[in-house]
Amino acid sequence: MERARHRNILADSTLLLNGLELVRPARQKRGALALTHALICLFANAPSRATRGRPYTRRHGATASGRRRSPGAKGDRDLLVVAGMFVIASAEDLDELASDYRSLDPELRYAVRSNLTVLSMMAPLDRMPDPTQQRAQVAALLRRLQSAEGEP
Amino acid sequence: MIDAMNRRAIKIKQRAALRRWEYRQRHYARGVWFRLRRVLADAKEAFLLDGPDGDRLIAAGFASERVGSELAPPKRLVFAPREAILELPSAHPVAVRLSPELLSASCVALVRFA
Repeated sequence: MERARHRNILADSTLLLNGLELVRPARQKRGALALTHALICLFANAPSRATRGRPYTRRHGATASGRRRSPGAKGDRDLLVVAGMFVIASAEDLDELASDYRSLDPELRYAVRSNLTVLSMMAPLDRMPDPTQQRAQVAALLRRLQSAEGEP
Repeated sequence: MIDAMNRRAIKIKQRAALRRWEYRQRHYARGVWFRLRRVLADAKEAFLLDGPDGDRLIAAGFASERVGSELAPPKRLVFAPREAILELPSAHPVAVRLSPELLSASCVALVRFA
C-alpha cells in the first residue's frame, strides 16, 4: 500500500517532496517515474555541507524550486526523502541513476557521493523513512558510483 | 521598526560568521570528513575496542583504514570479520553514525557489508 502510494505521488509531473518541488524535465526520462531525476535533484540540492548552489536541474531542463535547502533538521528530512525513494527504486532506476551520475560535473558527482554518505550515517526521525534500512543499498550504490570515478 | 531591522541584521551577521567558520574548518579538514563517512558507509556494524584488542586485530593481519590516521587524535578503523571481532573481550557494539561515542573512540572494528 505504502509502495503504491509513493508511486502515485511520483507519477505526477510535478513532485512535491518535503517542501522541495521537483519539476519533471521536458525530455521524458526512460523510467515511468523519473525517479532518477528526483533522486539526483535531492542528492545534488540536499544538505551536503560540501556543496552549495549550482543546481543540477538547471543544466538538465528542469527546476528544483521551493524552499532552499537549509542545514539542520529540514536538510536532514530532505535526505530522508531519498531514503524513502530507495524503497521503491527498481534495478532499472538505479541503472539510470548511475548513468545520469556519469554525466554530472565533478563537483556535483562529489555532492551526490557526499550526500549518500551523510544519508548512511543518519539516525531515524519520527514519521520519516528509516535510513538505517537502506544502508546496504547505499553502500552498494556508493561502490558503483565510485567505480565510475575509476576508484577501487 | 528600526529595532526589528537591527535584530535581523545581527542574526544575518551571526549566520554569516558561523558559515565562514564552517567553510574555514572544512578547508582545513581537506575532505577528511567525507573520507571518514565513506569508510563508515561500507560498515554494516561497528564495535568499539580498547587499545590491546585493537592491537590484536592489527597483529592478526587486518589493516587500519588510512583516514583514521588523518584525524586528531588518530583513530584506528579496522575492517574484520564479525566472528573475529566478537572474540575480543572489549568489543562493544555501537551504531554506525557520527555519534560522540564513535568519534571519541580510539579504536573501532567494522564489519563490511557482504
